Amino acid sequence: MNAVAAGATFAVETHGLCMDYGNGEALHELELRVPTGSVFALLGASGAGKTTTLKLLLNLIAPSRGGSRILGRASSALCPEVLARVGYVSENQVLPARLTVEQFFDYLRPLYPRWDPAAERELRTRLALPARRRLGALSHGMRMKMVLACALPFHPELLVLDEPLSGLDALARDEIIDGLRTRPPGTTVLLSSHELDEVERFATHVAFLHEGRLLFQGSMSELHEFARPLMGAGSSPALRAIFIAVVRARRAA
Amino acid sequence: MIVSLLRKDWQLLAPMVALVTGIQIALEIAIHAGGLLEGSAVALELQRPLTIAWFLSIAALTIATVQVDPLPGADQDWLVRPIRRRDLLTEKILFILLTVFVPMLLINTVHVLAEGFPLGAALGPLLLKDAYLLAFFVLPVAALAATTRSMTELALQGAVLVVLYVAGTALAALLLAEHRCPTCETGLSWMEHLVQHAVTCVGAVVILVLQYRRRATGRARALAWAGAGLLAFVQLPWDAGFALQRTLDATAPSALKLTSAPGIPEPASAAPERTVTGRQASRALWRGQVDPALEYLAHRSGGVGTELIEVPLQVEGLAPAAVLLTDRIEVRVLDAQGGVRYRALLPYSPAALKARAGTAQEPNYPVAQALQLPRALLGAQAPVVMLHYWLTMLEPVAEVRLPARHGEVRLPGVGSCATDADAGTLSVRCEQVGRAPFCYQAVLEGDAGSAVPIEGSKCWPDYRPYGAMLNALSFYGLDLPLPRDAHAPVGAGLDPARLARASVRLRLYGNARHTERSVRTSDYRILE
Repeated sequence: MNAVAAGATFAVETHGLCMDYGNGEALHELELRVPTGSVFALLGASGAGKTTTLKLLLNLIAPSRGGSRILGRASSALCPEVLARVGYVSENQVLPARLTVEQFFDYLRPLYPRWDPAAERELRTRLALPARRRLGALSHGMRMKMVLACALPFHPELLVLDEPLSGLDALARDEIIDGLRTRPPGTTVLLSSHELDEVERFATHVAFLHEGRLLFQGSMSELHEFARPLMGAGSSPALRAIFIAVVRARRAA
Repeated sequence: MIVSLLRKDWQLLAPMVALVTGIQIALEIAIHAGGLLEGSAVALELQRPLTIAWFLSIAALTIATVQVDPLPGADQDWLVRPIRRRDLLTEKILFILLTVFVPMLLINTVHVLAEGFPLGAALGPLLLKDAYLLAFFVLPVAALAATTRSMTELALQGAVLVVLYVAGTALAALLLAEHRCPTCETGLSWMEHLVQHAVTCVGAVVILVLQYRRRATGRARALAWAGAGLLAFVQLPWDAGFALQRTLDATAPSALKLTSAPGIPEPASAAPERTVTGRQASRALWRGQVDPALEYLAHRSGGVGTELIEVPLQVEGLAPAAVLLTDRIEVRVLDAQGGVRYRALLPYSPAALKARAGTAQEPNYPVAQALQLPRALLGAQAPVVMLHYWLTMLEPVAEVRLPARHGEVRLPGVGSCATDADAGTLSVRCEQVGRAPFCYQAVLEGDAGSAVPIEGSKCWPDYRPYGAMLNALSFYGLDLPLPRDAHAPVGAGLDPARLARASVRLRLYGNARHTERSVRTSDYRILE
């Protein structure tokens, strides 16, 4: 199901994107369209292909077939100029453990022409990042906040978040969601998650991935429209219930 | 951007840089304190472990510098940052230059100046050492590190490369047999090493470019594996090597003549070397000396079905006081129709064509070339033996006299030399910045109380046009056995008063001239 409106501009597009790690296809003919300015949640169970999709988009791995574009540029030819407009947050991101928080910011600042020191200060204060602590000594939650704080001060046009809420306590989740809500206008957010209840609070668009195949993509209203035949008329079910119903329907088909 | 990357790597690796620099300083201090003669025993003991530590620490720092921002994998932070790969590679090389090579150059310069050599003469060898270490050690290590993301992966990858290299070497030995490494163990071996090092360096550069441009880890690893397996097959043909060496040393043609001389009686000094007996070989083995035993075994295996012959020759036209080195001999036995019945190559032969091994000789002298030939070839009709020689002549280039005891001298062409004597040995030790001589002779002169001149020489051909690669300073020297004073008790050695009046004449040979000569003869003697 593809419920993307015609004529929209897309921050992210994929065309027949396939990925095979050698033990079966992790991603099959993915046709994803992420409208510019949206908060787009890529949802699916573990192993659905969400992280693979994001890594392919950022050219961290090479696809078996197909291609993708981010901010109008082919992923396979991403240049520093495009990467300077893309923020990436991942729970798997390997940071230089021996650097302190302060030193890491010092390192990043000259890399981004649009780095905003005031935004950096504001984020570091709000997320309470300890300046002198080594990155390797940060807790998981603190580390995720650090990665997020490093992805925002240059006002990215596209923010890609891979499982940003995974393993975080309620307080840390709220802080990260707050961070996302206060993003500059026009910023597109593409995030992968299996935390459906949390995502429902801020996503404007969703896509369901199941076993490497796209089951649905569209806005929240389009999702409810799409889910009505499955869930019954008159109801306004939660995202989690819709997702389960869609996956079950897919399995039955 | 590069500055930011440099600062980040410095913050991460500063302790390691301090360690590498500390080891470099300690090594140079140990070499300096070791001295030429009577240096600190502790310093001498420390030189070897510090040299090993020096290599390991440079390798470790290189690996760490590359693996701070690993290339394989998909989770490294730098991959999602606006960093040009080209800038990253430049920064890595720059970081290694700044943290390893700049301190090394400074430390070595201080050391060379402390040894009394002028900076002008030292700068070339110092820069050469840095360039050699960078191209042939650091770049290959960096390339290996670029195909891995951790020390564990690197150790595994390194083990695979070692196994492949050993397998390749064994295969080369099997397939190429006696044609393997034609320049090895000769004065041209530097070319073979240089070619292999150059191939390794080019492979390393290709891997680095592959990794930093395309992150093609699979292809880069396959290339490294193929290179390790095939490196032993990188050979320099003898003829090409000798021709190249002749071009490099471009000197005037030689008037040397080599002719068959059937009428000349066997010269005593040119008699074939005495074969080691089984008993001597056994005794030598008990003393821990392996060479005599190997010689005995080689003679036993070679001796079955073979005959030892000698071909009388006349050497003429050798420059006065020159040294003649035989780099290689090709032996052919021809039948009556001129067909080749037998062909063999003899590698560098120190004793061949020499009146007296290692020392300067007369311009014209007879010599006997000993050969081991299959008995079946030496029938009733004497076959024609063709000998083709690849020769190198060296002439004296410097000579210096210094007191036999506590002598010291410093000359531009010789370097810094010192002498000292204990009960039975007179030691001559020299150090030179850059290229050291490979052929030299020392003669004890004056009132040394010996009827025959006491002399010693070392001459192992090494025709490379540059000095030691891993040390700007080259060391050379030899020991002369001292005669015991007739009136002194056993073990007391030469009378110190007489030794004090004696001096050592050190003569260095150089200006290598390479040439080829052939002899065709049917005149030979079969030895008992």
